[in-house]
Amino acid sequence: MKLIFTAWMLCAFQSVFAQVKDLPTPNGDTVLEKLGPRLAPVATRTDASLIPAVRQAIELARQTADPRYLGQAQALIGKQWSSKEASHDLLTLQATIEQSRHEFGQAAATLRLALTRPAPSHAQAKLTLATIERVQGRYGAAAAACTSITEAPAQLYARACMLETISLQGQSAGAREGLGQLLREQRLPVQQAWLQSLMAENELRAGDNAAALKHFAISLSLANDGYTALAFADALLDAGQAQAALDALRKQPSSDSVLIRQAQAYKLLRDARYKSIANDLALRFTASSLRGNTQTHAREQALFELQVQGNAPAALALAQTNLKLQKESVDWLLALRSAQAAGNSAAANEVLKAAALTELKDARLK
Amino acid sequence: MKYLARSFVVGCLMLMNSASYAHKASDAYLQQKSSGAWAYSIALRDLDRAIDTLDANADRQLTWAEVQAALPAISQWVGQGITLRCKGPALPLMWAFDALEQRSDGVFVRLVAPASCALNDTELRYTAMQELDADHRAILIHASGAIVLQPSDAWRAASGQTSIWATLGNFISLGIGHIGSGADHIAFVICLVLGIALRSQWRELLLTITAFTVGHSITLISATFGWVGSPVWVEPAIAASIGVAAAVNLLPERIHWLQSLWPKAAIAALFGLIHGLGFSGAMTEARVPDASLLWALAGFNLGVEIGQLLIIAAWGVIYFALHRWQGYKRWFVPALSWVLIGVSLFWLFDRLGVFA
Repeated sequence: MKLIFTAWMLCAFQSVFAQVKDLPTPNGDTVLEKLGPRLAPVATRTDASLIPAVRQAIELARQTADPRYLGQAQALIGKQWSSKEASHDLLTLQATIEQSRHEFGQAAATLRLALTRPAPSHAQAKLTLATIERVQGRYGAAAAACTSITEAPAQLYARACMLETISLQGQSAGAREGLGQLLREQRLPVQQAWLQSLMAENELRAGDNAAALKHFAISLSLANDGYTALAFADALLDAGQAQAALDALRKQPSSDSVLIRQAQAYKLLRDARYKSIANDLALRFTASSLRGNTQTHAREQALFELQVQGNAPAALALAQTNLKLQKESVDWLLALRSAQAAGNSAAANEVLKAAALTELKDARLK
Repeated sequence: MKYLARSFVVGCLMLMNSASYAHKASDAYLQQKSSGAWAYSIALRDLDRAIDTLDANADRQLTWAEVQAALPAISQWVGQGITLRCKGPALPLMWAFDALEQRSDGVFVRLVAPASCALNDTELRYTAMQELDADHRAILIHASGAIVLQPSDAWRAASGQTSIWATLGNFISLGIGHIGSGADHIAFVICLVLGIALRSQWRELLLTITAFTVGHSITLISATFGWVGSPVWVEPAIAASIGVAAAVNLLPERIHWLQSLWPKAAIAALFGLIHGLGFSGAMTEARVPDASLLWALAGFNLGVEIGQLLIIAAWGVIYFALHRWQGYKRWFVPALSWVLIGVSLFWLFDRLGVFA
C-alpha cells in the first residue's frame, strides 16, 4: 500500500510540474487575474466588528466557490477559534466554516459547545446542527434539533427543518403538504426559492422527477443558488436533458462540482469539450491531493470517475470512502450506481442495506 | 489505487488549458533547485490579500503592469515569510522575480533566491500568510516527495527529516507557553503550594507537584494518542478544581487530615488528570506527524514541567518575602484562598454559560 502511495505521489509531483506552464512576458495592460471581492479590513478585534466580517467571508466563499475565503474567515477568528472565551455567535460561525469544509464531526462538536453559551437566540446553531445530523443520516437527532427551536422569529425555519427531516424518512406526502402550506404564506423571494428547492428534493425522493424539475426551475428563477443549480443539473442529467443541464449551470462559478456536471453533459452530447474539462479536473484533483486532503473531496472524485472517466470500480471505492463522511441521498445513489456500473451486485446490496439502516426513503435507491 | 495512478498519468501528459479558477484552498510551492537556489511560487490571488496596493487601481482586474510595480513589495514580503538558516544564524534571502506561471489554481508569481547550503543542512521557518489565511500551506517539493508546511514560527528541517532536537525544542517552548498563558493552570498550581511551608515541608511540595505531574501526564499522553477525547465538562471542571484546591487550605483543624501528605497528593493527582485533558488541546492542534510524536510529547510535557517550576519559583519569591510576617498564615493564606475560590467560581459559571 505504501509503495503504491509513493508511486502515486511521484506521479502527482510529475503532473504538478507538467501542469505548471511558464507564461511568456505579457504586455503591461494584459489582465493576469480577475480577482474576487476583497474583504473589508476589521477595525477592532471585538465581536461587533469580527462577526460581520466573518459572515461576509463565509458568504463570499459560497458565492464564488473559492475556499480561500474560508481560510480568511478562520484567520479572522484567530485565537478565538475553539477558544473557551469565544461567544455563541462566533462558535456558530466557526461551525459553519467547518461544515463548509466537510468536517462534520468537528462542526457538530463546535455547535454543541456553542449551545452552552448564552445568546439572544440559539436558532441558527440548532438549524445548522440539524443539517449536519441529516447529512450524516441521523434523522432522529436531526428531528430533535429541529423541535428544540422555540424562538418565535425562527418558526418558518424550524417547521421547514422538521418537514425536510420527515421527507427523508419517507413521509413525502406530509412534507409536500407542509411545504405547500409554508409556500402559501407570504414570504420573501429567497425564502420561496429555498422552500421550492426543498419541495423539489422531496419530489425527487418520492420518484417524481418531472415535478422535481418544475420546482427546481421555479426556485432558480427566484434566486440564484449554487447548491440548487447543482441539484437541478443532476436531475436534468438523470432525465437525459444534457443541454438543459448546461444552461442550468451557466451562472455558476467553475467549482469542481460544476465542471464535473459540465463534462458529464458534454459527454452525453458527444461534444469533445468534455475531454479538456476532464483533463482540467484531473489536474485539479492532483493539485488538491498534494495538500493531503483527499477524503473531503471523495464525492466529487467518485462522481468524476463514474460519470466522466467511466471508471466504475474506482468510483465505487471513492464513493464508499465518501459514505463514511456524508450520507445524503446523492451519496448513497453515487455508491449504488458505481456498484451497478461495476457489475458488483454484492456491493450494491450492501449499499442498499446500509441506506435502509438509516431509515432514508428514496425511490431512486433500488 | 491503480486507477488513481492511471488518471494522473493522463494528467502528466497534457498541458494546462487557459481556464483558471480558484478551486481549492491556498497553496504556495517551495523548492530547492539543483543549483542550490530556492524557488517560491505564490498565487496572485494570495498576493492580493497580503499586499494592499497590488491592485493599484482597485478594479479587481490585475494587470502585469500592476504586478511589476509591486515586485519590490512582493520580494520584501516573501523575504519576511521565509527564513532559512544553515547551522547558524538566520540568513536574509534576496528574492527576485523569475517568471509567471499558469497553474490549475490561477496565475502564480515565481521568485528565486540565491543558493544557501545543501538541503540536508538547511532549516527553514515559514510564516507567510499566517495571519491572513488559516488554510494556507506551502508545499515543499523534493526529488523524493513533498512536505506540506503549515505556517508557524517553528524551525523545520528542509529535508523533512525533522531532527529530534528541533522537535524537542519546539515542543518544550510550546509547553512552557501553554502553561504560562493559561491563567487557570497557574492559579491551580498556586493553590496546591499555597498551604505548604516551602522552607520546612519540601518533601510535601515535591510529592504534591509530582502527583499533579503524574496525573496530567497520563491524560495528556492518552489524549494525544486518541485513547480519550476532550469532553465538554473539562474546562468547567478545571475551573472548579481551583476552588476545591483553594478550599482545602481553609479547612478547620478537625479535618486537618485532608491537608496531610497523602490525601493532598491524591487530590493533586486526581485534578492533574483533568488538567492533562485541558493541555492536550494544544498537542492535538499541532498535528504532529506520527514519526516524531513521542519526541513532541516528551518535549511538550517537559515544557509544561518547566513552566510549572517557573511558577513555583515565582511563588517562592513571594513566600520568602512574606513568611516571617505573623499575618502570613493567619491572614494572607486564607485571604488569597478566598480570592482564588472567587475566581474559580467566576470561571466555572462563565464556562457553564451562566453569564449573559
